[in-house]
Amino acid sequence: MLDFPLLALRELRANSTRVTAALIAVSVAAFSLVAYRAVLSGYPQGFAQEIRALAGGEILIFCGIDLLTPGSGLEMEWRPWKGRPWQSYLEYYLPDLPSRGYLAFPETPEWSPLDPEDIAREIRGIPGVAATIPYYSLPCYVETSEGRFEAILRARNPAFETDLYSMAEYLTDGRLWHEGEEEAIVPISQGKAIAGVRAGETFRLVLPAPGATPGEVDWTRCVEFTLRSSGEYDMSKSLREAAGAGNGAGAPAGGRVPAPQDGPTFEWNRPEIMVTEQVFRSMCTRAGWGEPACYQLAVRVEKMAMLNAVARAIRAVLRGRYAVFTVPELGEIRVAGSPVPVAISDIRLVMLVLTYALSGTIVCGSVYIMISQSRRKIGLLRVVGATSRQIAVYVYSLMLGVFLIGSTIGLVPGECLRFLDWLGSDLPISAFLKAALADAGIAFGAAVAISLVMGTLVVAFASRLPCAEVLARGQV
Amino acid sequence: MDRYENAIIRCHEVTKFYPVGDGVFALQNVHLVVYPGEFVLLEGPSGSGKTTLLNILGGIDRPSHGEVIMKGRKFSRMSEDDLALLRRKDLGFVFQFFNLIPELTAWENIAFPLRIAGVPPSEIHERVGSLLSRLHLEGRANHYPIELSGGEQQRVAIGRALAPKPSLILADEPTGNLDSKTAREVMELFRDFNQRDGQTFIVASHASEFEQYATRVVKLRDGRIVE
Repeated sequence: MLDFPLLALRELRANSTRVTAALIAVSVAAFSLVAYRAVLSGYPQGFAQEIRALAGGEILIFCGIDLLTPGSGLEMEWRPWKGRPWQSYLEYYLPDLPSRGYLAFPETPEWSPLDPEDIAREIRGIPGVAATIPYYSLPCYVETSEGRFEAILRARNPAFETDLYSMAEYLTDGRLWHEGEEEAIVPISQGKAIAGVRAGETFRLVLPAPGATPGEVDWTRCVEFTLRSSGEYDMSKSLREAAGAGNGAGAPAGGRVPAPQDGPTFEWNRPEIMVTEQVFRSMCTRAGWGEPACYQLAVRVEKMAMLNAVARAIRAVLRGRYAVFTVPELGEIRVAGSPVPVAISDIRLVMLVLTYALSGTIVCGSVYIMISQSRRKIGLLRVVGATSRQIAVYVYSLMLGVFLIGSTIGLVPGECLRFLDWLGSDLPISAFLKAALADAGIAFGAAVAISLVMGTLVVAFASRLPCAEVLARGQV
Repeated sequence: MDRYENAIIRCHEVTKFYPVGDGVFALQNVHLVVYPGEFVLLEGPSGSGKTTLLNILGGIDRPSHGEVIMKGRKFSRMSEDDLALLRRKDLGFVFQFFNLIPELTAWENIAFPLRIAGVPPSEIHERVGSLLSRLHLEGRANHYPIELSGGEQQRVAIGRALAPKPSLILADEPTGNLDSKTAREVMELFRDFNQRDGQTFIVASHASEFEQYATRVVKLRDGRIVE
């Protein structure tokens, strides 16, 4: 049986001119495969960068969300809320949570308040965790010459500002504040600009006091602050679309939020007023709040290659008490409903499939011509005792030979490109080798599959040639 | 069991009709029995049916009427793959135009039928080496057919036919493409394998000068055995 693949290889070598087009087609397909996989293995950089810049890290820890996952039973139970006032931003979404508690499946753990210090302590030992950045916030009003707007006051520590996580590139006007600048802020438009506030202008910010019972916000005892805007920033359209699709907020048109009538309403997409953590704590103290509430905790990883491993380790440590998310990857964008990256990816996949189909057709055509012109040789093989099964092996070997040689030729430049990509990344060499091996496995697997499927007709033709073909005139 | 039953190959009333124009009978009611160790020379002019008879005896072609029986097996009841397996083991072919596989060396051409038959490599080496020696091709083992003379190519073809130690060798005008000296050398090789090894041959030739090599001469004229 071994002789037929050997014979096929010699045949291909003897017909190098004839198989050149087929080799080129297959090598282009293999190269396309590597290019497709290499690009797809990442995620839209701009999209992810916005999430990083806004959140301050690659892994986000929220309170509660995972605990809504149903358990094995269908019955639910009411549980009292045990969080601190304005704890974890949740009252903003669920204003009745402190007074009425919440509904949960019996098997699920308690809905814990998000204590950034506790969590930071728990995950500190996990390899790859570079920093944990708390996201402190409180509801507020902003009053300008244009009206009154509901907003979120958010703290951000300038010490954590780095090139990778900088808000600076999303500034549309003015500048980012610096450490020690107590009044400089950045109103975030996010599609809902606060009218009447421009960089350099001052405005009034109204912060509520804590209510009489835990979890309450007392809007009758507000504290007013006068702040100056250092600049304004906006996230890109893709992020807004993803955030909007993910939350289903249904933002009102016109870019303005109506002035609140009776305290903040349930609304996600309201503007944030970002101040330094130092200023935030100072304002909280004046308004009567103790420890500021933490909405989420952002975790930075030492290397992006460790992202998933670190996220898994954090989930294991936190044991389901909190929800842990990583920066969005393609699958999440698909869920979020942003159509552009998905469409581009799908088009590339369709083109890759078409490239392989075309290369398969060219290979089949070339091998069919070779067989048609070698009918006498097939007859001779039959005369010396080759069965139709052995002829099939011979023809499949011809097709596989073209596909494997062509794939190898295409993989070489493809992997060179991948290597260059790796040089510019912080991934370990094992990640490159693993990806390269996977490329080769998929390319060769596709070669075998296409040969077996598309070669069937050629094989059927060749294996039915009678041995009397040996009697035809001409060279073998 | 009588001698008739011991025959290597028998053909009964074999007729081959080609429906071309008014129709042509290439063979008509041919009856032939070949016994082990015979050297049969099928002699006749061009168009007498020698090649057609050899092809039918080798299972390459099917008769329009009649039956070929080899080792008790009727060709008419065998599939193409059954015939291929029979040829692999029991039949060797030598053609006028050599029909070597151009991508394989002399050594590989001779070894090819052994390899596809699954003969162990050590035995292949032994058999091919022995044949190359007897065919005086030791120095040409690694040459491709295009690098060999006509006589050398025919000797390689003979080696390929003999390698599986078949019961019967069918040679169709094996000297037709060779000069007279080389042709005699080829016939002497056949006789050598016939006399020393008891190998059975059916050789088709239009030249009566080769009758001296045969143990039996069968003369064909217009598709019929006349003598």
